[in-house]
Amino acid sequence: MEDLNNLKSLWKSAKPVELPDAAELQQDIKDFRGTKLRNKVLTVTVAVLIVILSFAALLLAKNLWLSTQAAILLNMVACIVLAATNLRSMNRFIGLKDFSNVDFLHFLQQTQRNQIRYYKRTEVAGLTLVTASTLLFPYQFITDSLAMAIGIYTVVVGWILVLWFYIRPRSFSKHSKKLSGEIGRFESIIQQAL
Amino acid sequence: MAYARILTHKQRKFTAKMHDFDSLYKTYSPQIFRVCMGYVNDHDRAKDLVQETFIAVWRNLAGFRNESKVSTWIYRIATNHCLRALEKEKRITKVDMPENLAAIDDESPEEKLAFLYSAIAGLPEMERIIISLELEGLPQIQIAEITGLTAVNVRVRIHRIKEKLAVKFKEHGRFD
Repeated sequence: MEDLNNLKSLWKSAKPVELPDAAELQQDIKDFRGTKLRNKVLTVTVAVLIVILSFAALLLAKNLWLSTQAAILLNMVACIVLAATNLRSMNRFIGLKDFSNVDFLHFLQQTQRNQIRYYKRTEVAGLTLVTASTLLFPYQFITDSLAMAIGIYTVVVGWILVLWFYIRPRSFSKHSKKLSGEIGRFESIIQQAL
Repeated sequence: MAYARILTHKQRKFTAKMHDFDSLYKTYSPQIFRVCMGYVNDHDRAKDLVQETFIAVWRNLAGFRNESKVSTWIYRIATNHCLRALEKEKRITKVDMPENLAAIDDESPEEKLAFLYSAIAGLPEMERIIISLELEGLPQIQIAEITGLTAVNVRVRIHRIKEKLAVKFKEHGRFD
Protein backbone atom coordinates (compact mmCIF):
# COMPACT_ATOMS: atom_id res chain seq x y z
CA MET A 1 0.00 0.00 0.00
CA GLU A 2 2.27 2.78 1.18
CA ASP A 3 5.96 3.25 1.52
CA LEU A 4 6.60 4.36 5.10
CA ASN A 5 8.09 7.56 3.73
CA ASN A 6 4.64 8.41 2.44
CA LEU A 7 3.01 8.00 5.82
CA LYS A 8 3.32 11.70 6.58
CA SER A 9 1.35 12.69 3.51
CA LEU A 10 -1.23 9.99 4.26
CA TRP A 11 -1.43 11.23 7.87
CA LYS A 12 -2.04 14.80 6.76
CA SER A 13 -4.60 13.74 4.17
CA ALA A 14 -7.18 13.36 6.97
CA LYS A 15 -10.22 15.41 6.06
CA PRO A 16 -10.80 18.37 8.35
CA VAL A 17 -13.28 17.47 11.05
CA GLU A 18 -16.25 19.57 11.98
CA LEU A 19 -15.01 21.04 15.20
CA PRO A 20 -17.03 23.76 16.90
CA ASP A 21 -15.89 27.28 16.08
CA ALA A 22 -14.07 29.34 18.70
CA ALA A 23 -17.25 31.14 19.83
CA GLU A 24 -19.11 27.85 20.39
CA LEU A 25 -16.14 26.54 22.31
CA GLN A 26 -16.30 29.62 24.53
CA GLN A 27 -19.80 28.61 25.56
CA ASP A 28 -18.64 25.04 26.23
CA ILE A 29 -15.81 26.41 28.37
CA LYS A 30 -18.30 28.34 30.52
CA ASP A 31 -20.55 25.26 30.89
CA PHE A 32 -17.58 23.00 31.61
CA ARG A 33 -16.15 25.25 34.31
CA GLY A 34 -19.57 25.80 35.82
CA THR A 35 -20.35 22.11 36.16
CA LYS A 36 -16.95 21.02 37.39
CA LEU A 37 -16.48 23.76 39.93
CA ARG A 38 -20.06 24.17 41.14
CA ASN A 39 -20.04 21.27 43.62
CA LYS A 40 -16.66 22.17 45.05
CA VAL A 41 -17.56 25.85 45.43
CA LEU A 42 -20.84 24.84 47.08
CA THR A 43 -19.08 22.47 49.50
CA VAL A 44 -16.50 25.10 50.49
CA THR A 45 -19.20 27.78 50.89
CA VAL A 46 -21.39 25.58 53.09
CA ALA A 47 -18.37 24.49 55.18
CA VAL A 48 -17.26 28.10 55.70
CA LEU A 49 -20.83 29.15 56.59
CA ILE A 50 -21.07 26.36 59.17
CA VAL A 51 -17.76 27.45 60.70
CA ILE A 52 -18.95 31.08 60.93
CA LEU A 53 -22.35 30.11 62.37
CA SER A 54 -20.75 27.69 64.84
CA PHE A 55 -18.33 30.38 65.98
CA ALA A 56 -21.20 32.83 66.41
CA ALA A 57 -23.15 30.21 68.37
CA LEU A 58 -20.19 29.65 70.67
CA LEU A 59 -19.88 33.37 71.31
CA LEU A 60 -23.55 34.26 71.63
CA ALA A 61 -25.27 31.23 73.15
CA LYS A 62 -25.38 31.18 76.90
CA ASN A 63 -25.41 28.21 79.26
CA LEU A 64 -23.81 25.84 76.80
CA TRP A 65 -22.34 22.82 78.51
CA LEU A 66 -18.76 21.87 77.96
CA SER A 67 -19.92 18.83 75.97
CA THR A 68 -21.95 21.04 73.59
CA GLN A 69 -19.09 23.51 73.18
CA ALA A 70 -16.70 20.65 72.43
CA ALA A 71 -19.19 19.25 69.88
CA ILE A 72 -19.40 22.61 68.10
CA LEU A 73 -15.61 23.00 68.10
CA LEU A 74 -15.07 19.50 66.72
CA ASN A 75 -17.63 20.18 64.00
CA MET A 76 -15.85 23.42 63.13
CA VAL A 77 -12.53 21.59 62.79
CA ALA A 78 -14.18 18.96 60.55
CA CYS A 79 -15.61 21.72 58.34
CA ILE A 80 -12.21 23.43 58.11
CA VAL A 81 -10.63 20.11 57.04
CA LEU A 82 -13.39 19.66 54.42
CA ALA A 83 -13.03 23.22 53.08
CA ALA A 84 -9.21 23.00 52.95
CA THR A 85 -9.31 19.67 51.08
CA ASN A 86 -11.76 21.02 48.51
CA LEU A 87 -9.86 24.30 48.12
CA ARG A 88 -6.66 22.37 47.41
CA SER A 89 -8.51 20.29 44.84
CA MET A 90 -10.03 23.43 43.24
CA ASN A 91 -6.61 25.00 43.06
CA ARG A 92 -5.31 21.95 41.24
CA PHE A 93 -8.24 22.08 38.84
CA ILE A 94 -7.86 25.79 38.08
CA GLY A 95 -4.09 25.83 37.71
CA LEU A 96 -2.31 23.86 35.02
CA LYS A 97 1.43 23.41 35.01
CA ASP A 98 3.33 23.10 31.76
CA PHE A 99 4.33 19.45 32.22
CA SER A 100 6.08 17.20 29.74
CA ASN A 101 4.33 13.83 29.28
CA VAL A 102 6.75 12.03 31.59
CA ASP A 103 6.49 14.69 34.33
CA PHE A 104 2.71 14.73 33.91
CA LEU A 105 2.54 10.94 34.42
CA HIS A 106 4.55 11.28 37.64
CA PHE A 107 2.23 14.12 38.71
CA LEU A 108 -0.87 11.99 38.02
CA GLN A 109 0.62 9.06 39.87
CA GLN A 110 1.32 11.28 42.89
CA THR A 111 -2.20 12.73 42.69
CA GLN A 112 -3.69 9.23 42.78
CA ARG A 113 -1.53 8.39 45.79
CA ASN A 114 -2.74 11.58 47.49
CA GLN A 115 -6.32 10.54 46.81
CA ILE A 116 -5.75 7.13 48.34
CA ARG A 117 -4.18 8.84 51.36
CA TYR A 118 -7.26 11.07 51.53
CA TYR A 119 -9.58 8.05 51.69
CA LYS A 120 -7.34 6.27 54.20
CA ARG A 121 -6.45 9.17 56.51
CA THR A 122 -8.13 12.55 55.91
CA GLU A 123 -11.59 11.08 55.49
CA VAL A 124 -11.15 8.93 58.64
CA ALA A 125 -9.98 11.98 60.60
CA GLY A 126 -12.93 14.06 59.36
CA LEU A 127 -15.44 11.31 60.12
CA THR A 128 -13.94 10.78 63.59
CA LEU A 129 -14.41 14.47 64.37
CA VAL A 130 -17.99 14.43 63.08
CA THR A 131 -18.76 11.23 65.02
CA ALA A 132 -17.45 12.69 68.27
CA SER A 133 -19.32 15.92 67.62
CA THR A 134 -22.58 14.08 66.82
CA LEU A 135 -22.31 12.03 70.01
CA LEU A 136 -21.49 15.01 72.24
CA PHE A 137 -23.95 17.54 70.86
CA PRO A 138 -27.32 16.08 72.00
CA TYR A 139 -26.06 15.25 75.52
CA GLN A 140 -27.03 18.60 77.08
CA PHE A 141 -30.55 18.48 75.69
CA ILE A 142 -31.55 14.94 76.68
CA THR A 143 -30.33 14.57 80.23
CA ASP A 144 -33.82 15.32 81.61
CA SER A 145 -35.50 12.37 79.95
CA LEU A 146 -34.14 8.83 79.87
CA ALA A 147 -36.59 7.79 77.16
CA MET A 148 -35.56 10.69 74.94
CA ALA A 149 -31.88 9.90 75.59
CA ILE A 150 -32.35 6.28 74.57
CA GLY A 151 -34.39 7.25 71.49
CA ILE A 152 -32.01 9.93 70.22
CA TYR A 153 -28.81 7.99 70.93
CA THR A 154 -30.27 4.89 69.26
CA VAL A 155 -30.83 6.91 66.09
CA VAL A 156 -27.44 8.68 66.33
CA VAL A 157 -25.44 5.53 67.05
CA GLY A 158 -27.38 3.65 64.35
CA TRP A 159 -26.50 6.31 61.80
CA ILE A 160 -22.84 6.33 62.87
CA LEU A 161 -22.66 2.54 62.54
CA VAL A 162 -24.18 2.70 59.04
CA LEU A 163 -21.74 5.46 58.09
CA TRP A 164 -18.64 3.63 59.38
CA PHE A 165 -19.48 0.06 58.54
CA TYR A 166 -21.56 0.33 55.36
CA ILE A 167 -21.26 3.64 53.48
CA ARG A 168 -17.56 4.32 54.06
CA PRO A 169 -16.22 0.79 53.34
CA ARG A 170 -18.26 0.67 50.10
CA SER A 171 -17.07 4.10 49.00
CA PHE A 172 -13.47 3.31 50.02
CA SER A 173 -13.47 -0.01 48.21
CA LYS A 174 -14.89 1.54 45.03
CA HIS A 175 -12.44 4.44 44.97
CA SER A 176 -9.32 2.60 46.08
CA LYS A 177 -9.86 -0.17 43.51
CA LYS A 178 -10.25 2.41 40.74
CA LEU A 179 -7.26 4.46 41.91
CA SER A 180 -5.02 1.42 42.33
CA GLY A 181 -5.91 0.36 38.80
CA GLU A 182 -5.05 3.80 37.48
CA ILE A 183 -1.75 3.91 39.37
CA GLY A 184 -0.88 0.56 37.82
CA ARG A 185 -1.68 1.82 34.33
CA PHE A 186 0.34 5.02 34.84
CA GLU A 187 3.26 2.91 36.12
CA SER A 188 3.14 0.82 32.98
CA ILE A 189 3.24 3.94 30.78
CA ILE A 190 6.05 5.44 32.86
CA GLN A 191 7.98 2.22 32.25
CA GLN A 192 7.61 2.89 28.52
CA ALA A 193 9.36 6.22 29.01
CA LEU A 194 12.41 4.65 30.72
CA MET B 1 -9.83 54.51 18.38
CA ALA B 2 -12.85 55.84 20.24
CA TYR B 3 -14.02 52.27 20.67
CA ALA B 4 -10.71 51.30 22.19
CA ARG B 5 -10.97 54.19 24.64
CA ILE B 6 -14.43 53.14 25.80
CA LEU B 7 -13.29 49.61 26.60
CA THR B 8 -12.10 49.05 30.13
CA HIS B 9 -8.71 47.48 30.74
CA LYS B 10 -10.41 44.19 31.62
CA GLN B 11 -12.46 44.20 28.40
CA ARG B 12 -9.37 44.98 26.30
CA LYS B 13 -7.51 42.15 27.98
CA PHE B 14 -10.42 39.79 27.31
CA THR B 15 -10.68 40.89 23.66
CA ALA B 16 -6.94 40.34 23.16
CA LYS B 17 -7.18 36.94 24.81
CA MET B 18 -10.16 36.03 22.63
CA HIS B 19 -8.25 37.12 19.52
CA ASP B 20 -5.19 35.07 20.51
CA PHE B 21 -7.35 32.09 21.35
CA ASP B 22 -9.27 32.31 18.10
CA SER B 23 -6.06 32.36 16.11
CA LEU B 24 -4.50 29.48 18.10
CA TYR B 25 -7.67 27.43 17.74
CA LYS B 26 -7.82 27.93 13.97
CA THR B 27 -4.12 27.13 13.55
CA TYR B 28 -3.77 24.15 15.82
CA SER B 29 -7.13 22.39 16.15
CA PRO B 30 -6.75 20.27 12.95
CA GLN B 31 -3.26 19.20 14.01
CA ILE B 32 -4.34 18.43 17.56
CA PHE B 33 -7.28 16.43 16.21
CA ARG B 34 -4.95 14.23 14.14
CA VAL B 35 -2.66 13.61 17.13
CA CYS B 36 -5.62 12.74 19.37
CA MET B 37 -7.05 10.51 16.64
CA GLY B 38 -3.70 8.72 16.44
CA TYR B 39 -3.89 8.11 20.18
CA VAL B 40 -7.53 7.06 20.65
CA ASN B 41 -8.51 5.88 17.14
CA ASP B 42 -12.05 7.08 17.78
CA HIS B 43 -13.50 10.06 15.98
CA ASP B 44 -15.83 11.28 18.73
CA ARG B 45 -13.32 10.81 21.53
CA ALA B 46 -10.67 12.62 19.52
CA LYS B 47 -13.07 15.54 19.08
CA ASP B 48 -13.74 15.57 22.82
CA LEU B 49 -10.00 15.59 23.51
CA VAL B 50 -9.50 18.52 21.14
CA GLN B 51 -12.18 20.45 23.00
CA GLU B 52 -10.71 19.56 26.40
CA THR B 53 -7.29 20.66 25.15
CA PHE B 54 -8.53 24.06 24.03
CA ILE B 55 -10.56 24.53 27.20
CA ALA B 56 -7.24 24.14 29.05
CA VAL B 57 -5.54 26.48 26.55
CA TRP B 58 -8.20 29.14 27.17
CA ARG B 59 -7.96 28.80 30.93
CA ASN B 60 -4.19 29.12 30.94
CA LEU B 61 -3.54 31.44 28.03
CA ALA B 62 -3.03 34.47 30.23
CA GLY B 63 -0.46 32.57 32.30
CA PHE B 64 1.53 31.29 29.30
CA ARG B 65 5.01 32.68 29.81
CA ASN B 66 6.64 31.94 26.45
CA GLU B 67 9.14 29.68 28.20
CA SER B 68 8.56 27.22 25.39
CA LYS B 69 7.11 27.60 21.88
CA VAL B 70 3.36 27.98 21.92
CA SER B 71 3.02 24.89 19.72
CA THR B 72 5.06 22.84 22.22
CA TRP B 73 2.81 24.09 24.99
CA ILE B 74 -0.38 23.15 23.13
CA TYR B 75 0.92 19.72 22.07
CA ARG B 76 1.95 19.07 25.66
CA ILE B 77 -1.56 19.90 26.88
CA ALA B 78 -3.11 17.73 24.17
CA THR B 79 -0.90 14.70 24.73
CA ASN B 80 -1.28 14.99 28.49
CA HIS B 81 -5.04 14.99 28.01
CA CYS B 82 -4.66 11.85 25.92
CA LEU B 83 -2.69 10.17 28.71
CA ARG B 84 -5.27 11.40 31.20
CA ALA B 85 -8.01 9.71 29.17
CA LEU B 86 -6.85 6.54 30.88
CA GLU B 87 -8.59 7.70 34.02
CA LYS B 88 -11.92 7.43 32.31
CA GLU B 89 -13.80 4.18 32.16
CA LYS B 90 -13.73 3.68 28.44
CA ARG B 91 -10.62 2.03 27.14
CA ILE B 92 -8.83 3.12 24.01
CA THR B 93 -10.41 1.64 20.89
CA LYS B 94 -8.21 -1.00 19.37
CA VAL B 95 -9.94 -2.21 16.24
CA ASP B 96 -8.71 -5.59 15.01
CA MET B 97 -7.03 -5.20 11.70
CA PRO B 98 -8.56 -7.26 8.90
CA GLU B 99 -6.44 -10.15 7.60
CA ASN B 100 -5.39 -11.04 4.06
CA LEU B 101 -5.99 -7.76 2.37
CA ALA B 102 -3.08 -8.12 0.00
CA ALA B 103 -5.47 -8.49 -2.91
CA ILE B 104 -7.09 -5.13 -2.32
CA ASP B 105 -5.17 -2.66 -4.40
CA ASP B 106 -7.66 0.08 -4.94
CA GLU B 107 -8.25 1.23 -1.41
CA SER B 108 -9.63 4.69 -0.88
CA PRO B 109 -7.46 7.23 0.97
CA GLU B 110 -9.93 6.99 3.88
CA GLU B 111 -9.37 3.24 4.13
CA LYS B 112 -5.62 3.70 4.01
CA LEU B 113 -5.82 6.29 6.74
CA ALA B 114 -8.11 4.09 8.84
CA PHE B 115 -5.53 1.31 8.56
CA LEU B 116 -2.77 3.68 9.67
CA TYR B 117 -4.83 4.73 12.71
CA SER B 118 -5.47 1.07 13.56
CA ALA B 119 -1.79 0.25 13.25
CA ILE B 120 -0.87 3.16 15.54
CA ALA B 121 -3.61 2.25 18.03
CA GLY B 122 -1.92 -1.12 18.49
CA LEU B 123 1.25 0.54 19.79
CA PRO B 124 2.00 1.29 23.47
CA GLU B 125 0.79 4.72 24.66
CA MET B 126 4.08 6.66 24.55
CA GLU B 127 4.87 5.27 21.11
CA ARG B 128 1.45 6.40 19.86
CA ILE B 129 2.23 9.93 20.99
CA ILE B 130 5.75 9.94 19.54
CA ILE B 131 4.75 8.63 16.11
CA SER B 132 1.73 10.96 15.90
CA LEU B 133 3.96 13.97 16.58
CA GLU B 134 6.57 12.68 14.12
CA LEU B 135 3.92 12.21 11.41
CA GLU B 136 2.67 15.70 12.21
CA GLY B 137 6.11 16.87 11.13
CA LEU B 138 7.43 18.18 14.44
CA PRO B 139 11.22 18.34 14.80
CA GLN B 140 12.55 15.56 17.04
CA ILE B 141 13.92 18.10 19.52
CA GLN B 142 10.38 19.46 19.96
CA ILE B 143 8.99 15.94 20.38
CA ALA B 144 11.60 15.45 23.10
CA GLU B 145 10.41 18.65 24.85
CA ILE B 146 6.79 17.54 24.67
CA THR B 147 7.32 14.00 25.89
CA GLY B 148 10.12 14.64 28.39
CA LEU B 149 12.43 12.12 26.71
CA THR B 150 15.90 12.94 25.41
CA ALA B 151 16.31 13.82 21.73
CA VAL B 152 18.50 10.73 21.22
CA ASN B 153 15.87 8.55 22.83
CA VAL B 154 13.19 10.04 20.59
CA ARG B 155 15.26 9.36 17.47
CA VAL B 156 15.86 5.73 18.47
CA ARG B 157 12.19 5.24 19.32
CA ILE B 158 10.96 6.71 16.06
CA HIS B 159 13.22 4.29 14.21
CA ARG B 160 11.84 1.35 16.21
CA ILE B 161 8.24 2.47 15.80
CA LYS B 162 8.68 2.74 12.04
CA GLU B 163 10.03 -0.80 12.03
CA LYS B 164 7.04 -2.00 14.01
CA LEU B 165 4.66 -0.25 11.65
CA ALA B 166 6.49 -1.70 8.65
CA VAL B 167 6.00 -5.20 10.07
CA LYS B 168 2.29 -4.53 10.57
CA PHE B 169 1.93 -3.16 7.08
CA LYS B 170 3.78 -6.11 5.57
CA GLU B 171 1.69 -8.61 7.56
CA HIS B 172 -1.38 -7.13 5.95
CA GLY B 173 0.05 -6.86 2.48
CA ARG B 174 0.01 -3.11 2.58
CA PHE B 175 3.62 -2.23 2.18
CA ASP B 176 5.56 -1.88 -1.04
